[in-house]
Amino acid sequence: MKPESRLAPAEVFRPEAARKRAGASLRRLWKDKLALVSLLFLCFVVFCSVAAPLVSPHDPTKGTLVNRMKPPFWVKGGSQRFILGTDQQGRDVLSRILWGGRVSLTVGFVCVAISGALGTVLGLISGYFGKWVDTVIMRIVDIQSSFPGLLVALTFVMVLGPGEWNLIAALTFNGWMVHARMARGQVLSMRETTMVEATRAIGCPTGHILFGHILPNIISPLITTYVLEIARIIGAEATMSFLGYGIQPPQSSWGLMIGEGRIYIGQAWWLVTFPGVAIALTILALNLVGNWIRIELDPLHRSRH
Amino acid sequence: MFRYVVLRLGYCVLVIVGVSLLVFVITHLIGSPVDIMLPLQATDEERAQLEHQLGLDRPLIYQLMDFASGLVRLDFGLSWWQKEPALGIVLERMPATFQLVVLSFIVAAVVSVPLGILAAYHPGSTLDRVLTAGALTGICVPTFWVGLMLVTVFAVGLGWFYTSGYGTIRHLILPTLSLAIVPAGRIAQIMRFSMLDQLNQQYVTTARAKGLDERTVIFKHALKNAAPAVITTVGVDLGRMLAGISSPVEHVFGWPGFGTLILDTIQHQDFPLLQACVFVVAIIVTVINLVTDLSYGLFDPRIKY
Amino acid sequence: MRGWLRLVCIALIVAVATSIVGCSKPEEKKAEPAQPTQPAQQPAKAKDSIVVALQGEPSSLDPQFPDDGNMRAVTENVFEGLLETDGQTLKPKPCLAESFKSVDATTWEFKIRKGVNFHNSDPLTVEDVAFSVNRIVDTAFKSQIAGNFRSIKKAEKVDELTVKIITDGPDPALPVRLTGLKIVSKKHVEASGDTVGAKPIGTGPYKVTGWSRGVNIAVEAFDGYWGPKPSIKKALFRFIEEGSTRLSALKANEIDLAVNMLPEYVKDVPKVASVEGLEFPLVRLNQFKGAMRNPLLRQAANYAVDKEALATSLYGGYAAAAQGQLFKPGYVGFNAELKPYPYDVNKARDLLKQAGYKGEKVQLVAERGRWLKDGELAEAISMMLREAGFNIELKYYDWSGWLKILFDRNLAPDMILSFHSNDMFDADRTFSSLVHSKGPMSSYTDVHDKKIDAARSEMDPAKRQKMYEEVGKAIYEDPAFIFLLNLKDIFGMSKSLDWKPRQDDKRLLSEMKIIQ
Repeated sequence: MKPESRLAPAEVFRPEAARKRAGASLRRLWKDKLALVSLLFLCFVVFCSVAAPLVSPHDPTKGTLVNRMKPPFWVKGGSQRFILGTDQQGRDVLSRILWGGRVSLTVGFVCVAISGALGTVLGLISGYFGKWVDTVIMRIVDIQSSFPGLLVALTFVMVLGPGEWNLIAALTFNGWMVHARMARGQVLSMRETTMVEATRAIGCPTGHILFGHILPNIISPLITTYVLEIARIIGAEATMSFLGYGIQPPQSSWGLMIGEGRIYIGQAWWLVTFPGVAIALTILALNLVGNWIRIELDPLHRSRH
Repeated sequence: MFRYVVLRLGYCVLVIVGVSLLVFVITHLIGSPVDIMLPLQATDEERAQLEHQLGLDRPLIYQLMDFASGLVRLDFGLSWWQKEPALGIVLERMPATFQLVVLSFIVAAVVSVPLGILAAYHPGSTLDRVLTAGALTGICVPTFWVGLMLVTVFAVGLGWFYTSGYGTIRHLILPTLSLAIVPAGRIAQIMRFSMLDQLNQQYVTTARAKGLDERTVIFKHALKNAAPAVITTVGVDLGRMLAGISSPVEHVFGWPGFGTLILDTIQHQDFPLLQACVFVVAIIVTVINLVTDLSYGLFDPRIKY
Repeated sequence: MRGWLRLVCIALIVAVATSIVGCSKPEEKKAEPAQPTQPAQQPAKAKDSIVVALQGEPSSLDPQFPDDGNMRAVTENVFEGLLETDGQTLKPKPCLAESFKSVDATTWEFKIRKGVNFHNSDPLTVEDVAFSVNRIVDTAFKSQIAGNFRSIKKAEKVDELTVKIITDGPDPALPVRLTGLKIVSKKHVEASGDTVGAKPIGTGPYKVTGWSRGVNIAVEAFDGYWGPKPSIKKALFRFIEEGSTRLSALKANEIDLAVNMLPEYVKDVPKVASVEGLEFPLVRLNQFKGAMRNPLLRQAANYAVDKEALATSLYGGYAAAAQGQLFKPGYVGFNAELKPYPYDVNKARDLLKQAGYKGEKVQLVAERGRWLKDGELAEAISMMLREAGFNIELKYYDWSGWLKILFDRNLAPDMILSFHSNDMFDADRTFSSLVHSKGPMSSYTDVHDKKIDAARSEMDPAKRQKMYEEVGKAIYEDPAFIFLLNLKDIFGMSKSLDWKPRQDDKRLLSEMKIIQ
């Protein structure tokens, strides 16, 4: 039974309307080539990462010194066996990029999943209940926001040691605040609407109001935040791995490849260039898609574009 | 006005204390630093000895009291690595970072503010599209990778600049450019967005109708109103940059500043030095936030404290 | 409102001004740096100072405590011993001792040179010499180089100019040993307490004028030096961990000498000099705790590493496989019968199976940045070991952390990568440190102690050689090391530096000349 459908229509979550909107969005996406290309690129990256064990030509952790520092196949000295060349331990660069993408995306998704969920819930609570709950949570958000992410992550590494899961812990720890702020902002504008008043009047339990009614309505702008945050986390992981405190060898990550290949930048440019391009393109694509989503979901924004 | 400043200062102190406590909590409750410092097969007596040596085996409350009393006196103890007062070491390294970061922001602002205004003035034009793309790319590429690419081309390849080190203008150029890219992109983006917003407002049409020349309209009116958003961005970014985000670039260029100090601190697992770093960072960030907030009064006469 | 705006503008101008002023003047807080070479456009001016780039920062400048090559690069110029090694013959010759003689089988007498002063103007006295010797052999001091001086019992003053050193049994190698024993100032050391590592006072041709932690150490020629004045008046030792940074600094004329040039950079460097080196990388295995207790695993590790590939590909030919020992021809104690363990992955796998290895984690500890390609070597070795079936966890430490772990038996990890250099060219140095149960770096029980002690005091060279060969063979068959390589030293120099590197890896500023 759906009591909401008898209430003020403009503010209510209606599946049929949503489907129509989705159709219109897809048509607009087709028109906006840049966003379309970005989305396709992201799908490609995700596919490569997921299918890395099947698609990757070599084992990314194994190499023989004899094959060390071979250039990409189109440069003299390169071979078709190692399309993008090999690194200083003789490992295939392309395979390491494919597997590295796996790691970067995993870190990105896991961090945002956890910090996003946590932050959104806290933001909902903070915005809905207000008063001292709001003050306390927002003060914590402010204090933690003053603490820049890199320093927090490095501190975590100092006490936990470097590694993939410790890095995820560090990035999650410092990633929830932005979601909380966004969610809270959205809830504040929703809180005084007739719909919410009405659901409260009919005796809906608070939990149901928050998660069954408010959340579905505000999820759209939050999705933008999630996507942009994934981009930011991927960048953060690359930085940490570059500095040597993120993913550890023999695992590969794009940032780690750049960090390891640094000393040979004058002799083997491919060690640094390709991973860097991978990072830049992925983050760029995520940003473009995130922006497109934001514009899509906010009609006011659309007109300004 | 005065009351506001005093209140804000009080709040700043709260934040600084909160952040320092946060670090204390992280470093003392999460993970065991002793385990990180010792190899797998170290005996238990060694572990106990190291813990005792570092003062980590005393009851937590004593450690907390020691820390709190030290905090009040601005005494963080001696750095384990350098055997000198920790705060002094941090302050000694700040000027180099300060110089680099401030210069980067000035370069970034000088380039991106005019371009942002220009793009807002001709929305949808080729210039606008190129600028938006450029700004977005600037934000997305990892700064350390940009630094490495610049080194490859200009220092190794063309030999125009030094690849690392500190002391002359030739040392300063490449790191400044690398660091300036992200702020430039962000400032351009927000400047454009803000100006566009303003130029579409009623008062602009009115001003033009009144017969005011374009220059007055743009600079005396629209820009002043668009400024707060840009200032917030600059403030936030500047704070974060001084607080450690400059580390990767400093690392690439061997710049002897605060960023490399943080990395060394982590490498040497120097707790007192870390606390001192965090404290200084907290101060910088809160002061910048305060200055940013107060500066709104400059641009918007309606804001009264 | 206008007032505020003005204030903001002024603040901005001040910020810009300080930036520009600040960046055109090098940091004064650092040790007074030697004049950096001017970029090529400006007219060349007579220069009497150089910049040397070391790969890492010394852990201390107390020449008697750590076994730290980064430190020795500096202290070899600042401190002196009773004897020093002659660069050509590689034999000991008088330094702070004018002459010496062997009084009986266990007593040697040294006549101290007159008119030698420490850098703080205190004269060198017999008390200083006796103090220095006794300090290093004092077990409570726990010197990391104590293994080299195991034969010395104590030193005693005879008269104002003579000191006698008493050995534990005959020690034909004592003069060679003493080249590594630096003389410190008794007064200064006793007064400095814990800070003695930061304020070195020696008698050498150079004195330390400043140490900017994490950045550089500055030295200056000592006016009161007893010997010939060196041509280079000032030098700055910079710590540049990254090989590529050292290379660029060299090419940009910022430094004059860079240690440990990567083989890949050799064609890029203005001037290169390489010499047969002392360094023998090795992996020390833990015989007491953990999976490596099992001798089959230790042998398997030796079969699993492809030393030829390491020498040819990783080191670009600037290395050779070690002959199953940490010596090469010319060293006292070199066993010509031993050959390197062949590279045989299958044999390694078989041995692991035989030993019942179930995949227990084996930790390989290494550091990065002290020796040529140490980090990459550790990675390559772990890859090879994994290929053979070991479950390797590679863990890097910073330099001082690593030093501590290396020299503390309680902290011994399963495997630790280290580089051994023996500037005595005598097996006793290696065996006393690495094999004798009392050796600071040893991973052995006392099973070889008797033979090592006996060989140390054996006066007949043929007999001595035979004893060392026997120990060498025993270690080869039950190895507590993975024997790896012997490296060449590769130095990058600027065009204006003239220097021939020594085979004993001493980088003496007094032997360097600036040519215009």
